[in-house]
This record gives sequence, structure tokens and C-alpha cells, in this order.
Amino acid sequence: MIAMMSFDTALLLLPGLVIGLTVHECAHAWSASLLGDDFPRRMGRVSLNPLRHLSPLGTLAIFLLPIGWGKPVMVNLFNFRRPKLDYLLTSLAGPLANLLLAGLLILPMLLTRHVFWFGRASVNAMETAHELLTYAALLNLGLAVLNLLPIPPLDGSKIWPCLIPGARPGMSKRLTWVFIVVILVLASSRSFGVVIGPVVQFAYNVLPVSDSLRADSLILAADDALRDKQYARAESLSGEMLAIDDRSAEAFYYRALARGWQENWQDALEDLNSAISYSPADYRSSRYYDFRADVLAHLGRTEAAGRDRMRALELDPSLATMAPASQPATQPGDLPGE
Amino acid sequence: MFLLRLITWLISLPLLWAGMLLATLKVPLCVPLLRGAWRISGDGDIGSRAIGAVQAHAGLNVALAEATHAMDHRPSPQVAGLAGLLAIQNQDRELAKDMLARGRELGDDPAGSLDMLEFFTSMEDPKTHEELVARLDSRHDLPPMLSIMASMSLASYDVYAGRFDDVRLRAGRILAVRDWPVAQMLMWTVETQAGNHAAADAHRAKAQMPPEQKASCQIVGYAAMGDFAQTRQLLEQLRGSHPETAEAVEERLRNRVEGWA
Repeated sequence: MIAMMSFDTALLLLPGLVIGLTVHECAHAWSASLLGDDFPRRMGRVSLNPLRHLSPLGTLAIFLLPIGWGKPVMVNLFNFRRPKLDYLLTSLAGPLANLLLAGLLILPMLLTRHVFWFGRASVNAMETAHELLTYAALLNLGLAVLNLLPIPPLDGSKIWPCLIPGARPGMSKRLTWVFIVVILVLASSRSFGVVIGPVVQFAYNVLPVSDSLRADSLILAADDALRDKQYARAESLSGEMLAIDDRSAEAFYYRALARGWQENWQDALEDLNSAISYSPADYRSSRYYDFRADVLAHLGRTEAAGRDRMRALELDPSLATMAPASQPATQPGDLPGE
Repeated sequence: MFLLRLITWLISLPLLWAGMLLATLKVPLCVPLLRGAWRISGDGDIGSRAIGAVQAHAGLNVALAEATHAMDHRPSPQVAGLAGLLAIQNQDRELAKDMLARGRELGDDPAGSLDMLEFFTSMEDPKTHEELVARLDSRHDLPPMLSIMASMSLASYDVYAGRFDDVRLRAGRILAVRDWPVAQMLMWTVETQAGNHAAADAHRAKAQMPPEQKASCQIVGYAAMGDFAQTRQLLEQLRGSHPETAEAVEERLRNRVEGWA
């Protein structure tokens, strides 16, 4: 859940969210105005001023739930020349604006993808800019897809009554509130991930995302796959990351975990040897030694396992006090046969 | 000035959210919370919400008193519009007109409450009302409710004038977007006049309104068609069950339908 995300990540998400919601709501209002309904314009909604569109509660929610929203644009269907068709177009305008914005972000993403300044501060600034642009593009794609779901009050729910002959657009406010509760429950249980997850993964593949960000996303996906006990997928994702960076200790470690869960101890050992060779000899590599101890034990090399366990404790004494129950499936300690 | 308004608005938000949540749950504690948010922010929209909550929990008279008092201390077009609409509900047309004039001086309420108030205050003079609804009908910046009301008023003028094709167009346009009981009864009139009794009955069945209102619409419809025998028969039935409603309908027929004595 985003509720547990760091403050830094939240700050990186905020600009994309504010721009995305503003453009989304403004597109609804502007298209309504173009099609003959001036009520949104009178309400001040044909504007790119974020304060006109942001719902304070909806903006706050992005930090508590993995979902946010703007103030809905109220349109008057009686002002449209062809009410159903024009309402359909107005409803589609918001998600389309988000897709367009994501498309427009591709060029600045390309420009910031490869660091070509030499000063260290400039490099950091470019990396941060690239991260901001990437998150903005991903958020806008997510907003577009999420809003097309046919659940009130999302835009998708306004589209289908316009396509079915005899159906009337709009729904009772009470029923809409029921669906809002359903959406909040789905959001807080990460159920929207089923829809958004593949979109984000697809976007990572097609957008000009820098290698370091792509690698981060692969590690997160591998971590999720291990938690979901999809070990073959975790192994494949770690392999993809190694294709980007063949000296990534973390990628070797994740692949070793995935292979360990599949009882492929020999290959897991080779991955851990690589992880240890590419990582600095500090607390960060303690996990690798600790897991290698488990793998060596499985292979019957108890003496070597004991040495690795001692080395892990030297690097990170807190491992001695860590209860196995606190270790998720992505950690050694509860592998098959343990 | 902008910064000060932003700060006071931000400070008022927790009270506003809590108040709105409690108002949705119909908890009376919403009233002091919304009043507090209004006092801090001075925002007319929040004021309208607060007065709406007062009306729901303390009654029309208390809400009206608070709204008129607010117009002396924290005037805004939104509050003027709401105060005027409350005055209309309280049968105080003079106060409503005063609120309309004061609201117009303060500016426009984008949500259209002043237009709505003008719609109701003009009703006492049929000529002014007819001109106003024609003007409203040609505008494209009204809230949906006011568009419906203007369109329905024009449709009723068309009924009295026997322009049934225009009635069909207006009612059909409303029904394409929203199920509106008066529009269903207007379609009943049109279909009955055209001899399509099955379609007329279907529209009457769909009109979700109290039986006496349904009967009133039918009486007006029959009178507009010139079927005075049916009109009298239904009017007598209505007089038996709802004499006041029957009296009001007959008054309208006397004023609007030629040949009705």
C-alpha cells in the first residue's frame, strides 16, 4: 500500500498526480464547453489552475490509499445537442487527456534518460527529473486506465449507458456512494493492482525509462512474485534485471531466493557467490552470507555453512536477534526443508 | 489577501470534512462543525452547506433567520440565493425578492441559485415568468435542475396553447436524459391527444408522483385537448379526495384555457 511509502516517494508522486488530475478534470470541462454546455465554464472548471480541480480529501487520499481523485465536473446534459453522444465524448475526454499527457512526457523522459552532465549535482538533478517524469507518465497512464473501469463514479461507468439504446446516463447519488465505498475497499486491499499492475509493467517496457528505474521496478516485481510464491516468475524477473545490469548483487540474490524455493540449490549457490563478489563487504551483504549458509547446509557442506553464518553475524549482529517469523518469504530461514 | 484566504480555507477544511461526513450520516453535530468552517473561511459555498444543515436539523425558520442574519454580516451571492429560496418555501415573496436584488448586487453564483430564485419569484406574474423561462431556455450555462424547470414551464405553456408537437419535443428531450414525472405526464397528454392510448397509459404508469398530482396533470391535459367532459369528470373526482388541489387546478384552467368557464 502507498500508505507505507516513504515521504520521498510521496513527493515524487505528487507533481504527476496534481498535473494529471488537473488536466483530467479540465479536459472534461473543456470538452463539455466545446460541445455546447457552458455550465462547467461558469463554474470555473475550464482552467488549468489546480486549485479549481483538486479535492482536498482526494489529494490527501493518495498518501493513505493507492488512489486519489479530483472534484468531479458537473455537466448539464440538456445543453448538449446530442446528449448521449456528447456526454460519451465528455466522459472519454478525461482519460484521453491523461493518455495524451503521458505521451507528451516521452520526449523529456528521453532527454533525461541518459545522464550526460559531468557535475555530480547535475547528475542527481537529472536523475530526479527523470524519476519525476517517469512517475508522472505512469500515474497518468494509471489514471486513464482506472477511470475507464465501469464502476460509478468513475468515467467508465458513464460511458456504457451512452452506448446502450434506451439507457439513461447518470445514477442515483445514493447508489454512487455505495460504489465509492466499494472502490475504497478495493483500493485499500490492493485489488486494483490486478488492473493497474500489468499496465504499469507494460508502460515500463514501452516508455523510455532509465535502466536504474527499470531495474528498481523489476526488483519490486520479483519481490512481489516471491511473496505470491510465483518462484519461476521471480527467477525470470531477476534474470531480466541481470540483462540490464549483469553485476547487480541484488538481482543475483533474488534469483538465488527464487531458485532456492525451487530446490535448485546448486544454481542458487552460484548466484549467491556472484552476489557476494559484486557487493561491498558491509552489512548489506550479510543477507547473502546468511542465505548462502542455508544453501550450503542443504548441499551438505556444513562446515562452510557455519563459516558463512559467522560472517553474516559479523557483518550484521542484528541477524542473531531476528526471529524467523519476521522474515517474509523473500528472506532465508523458511525455505523448503528448513 | 489571496494567501490569507488560502490559509483560512485550509484551516476550515477539517471542520468542513467532518461536518460533511456527519451531514451525510444525518448527525446534528454537523451543524456546529459546518458553521465553524463557514466562520473561519468566510466562503459562501460552505455557508450554503451550513445553512442547508441547519434547515435539515433545526427547521426552515431557524435556517431562514440564520441566512438573513448572515446576509447582514457575511454577505455572498450563494447565501443570498439560498436565503431567498428558503423565503420562497416560507411563503415570504417580498423577502425572496429582496434577497434576489441583494444577491445580484454582490455578483453571480456560478451554481445558479440566484437564477433559480429569479425563476420562483417571477412566478407570481405569468407574463414576466414566461419571458424569463424563454430567456433561461436559450442559455447554456445553467445547472441541470434549472434547465429542466425552464423546459417544463415552456412545455406547459405549449400545452395550454395546443402546440402538442413542441410539447413532445421538449418532454422527449428531458426523458432521453432523465426520468422526470412531469415529462412523463406531458407525454401522456401528447399521446392521448394523438389517440395512442396504450403509449399514453405506459407514460402515465411511469410517472412517479402522488395520485392527486397525476390527476391534476390529466385534468390540464384534457382541458388543453378541449375534452371538457373528461376534464369535469376528473375534476369532480379530485374535488372529492383533494378539494384544495382541485380548486388550484380549476383556478389555472380559468386563467389559461380558453372556453373554460
